[in-house]
Amino acid sequence: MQLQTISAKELRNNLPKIIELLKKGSNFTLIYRSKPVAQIKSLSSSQEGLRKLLELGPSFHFRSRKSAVELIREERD
Amino acid sequence: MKLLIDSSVFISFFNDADVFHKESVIFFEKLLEDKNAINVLPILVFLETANVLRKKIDAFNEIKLLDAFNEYEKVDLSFDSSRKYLLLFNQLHLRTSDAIIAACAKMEDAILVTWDEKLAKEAKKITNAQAPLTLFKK
Repeated sequence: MQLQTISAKELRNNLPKIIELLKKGSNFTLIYRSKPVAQIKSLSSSQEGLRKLLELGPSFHFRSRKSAVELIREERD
Repeated sequence: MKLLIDSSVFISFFNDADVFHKESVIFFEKLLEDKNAINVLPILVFLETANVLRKKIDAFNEIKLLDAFNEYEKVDLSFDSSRKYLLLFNQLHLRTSDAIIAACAKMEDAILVTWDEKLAKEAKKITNAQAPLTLFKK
């Protein structure tokens, strides 16, 4: 994932270019008055998160015979 | 399509002995193909999932999980929004963690995706809630 900083002024002046970069998967940290105030993320970020999740996969030994719902209920009840 | 995926779906995905494991894998694979899907994530889901995996998996690497979850859109859980959450809690008969998950989905206008039928049934009072694969059924 690309992560770049961009100032509010740069965002205003280069909006079409920024949108194109977002479409290509770039993400930005928005800087306002010398401080980071927001992250502007490409909609494809969710897909990137899913890709990483699927790569992690069930590649480990899970030490429980309980179902996921039972395990979560133990945490919440 | 905005989705809030509950911890039960993530845990099921990571446990290949889970009754819903295969369905969870298919769900995430189908979701990957859907370019319009946006996943929103309350910090509670990350912490809960990581905590369960930490206890049940040898040499669990929470950094990799955080790296994956960090790509999702974060849900604002702050004091500023707490009054709105409490008003939603009034409509639910759920324990706090469940109520937070359901209220987050409502606040984000997202579909709550969970394997927990009890949670889904109650959450439907305020928001759309579904089992993973029903999302892809017409």
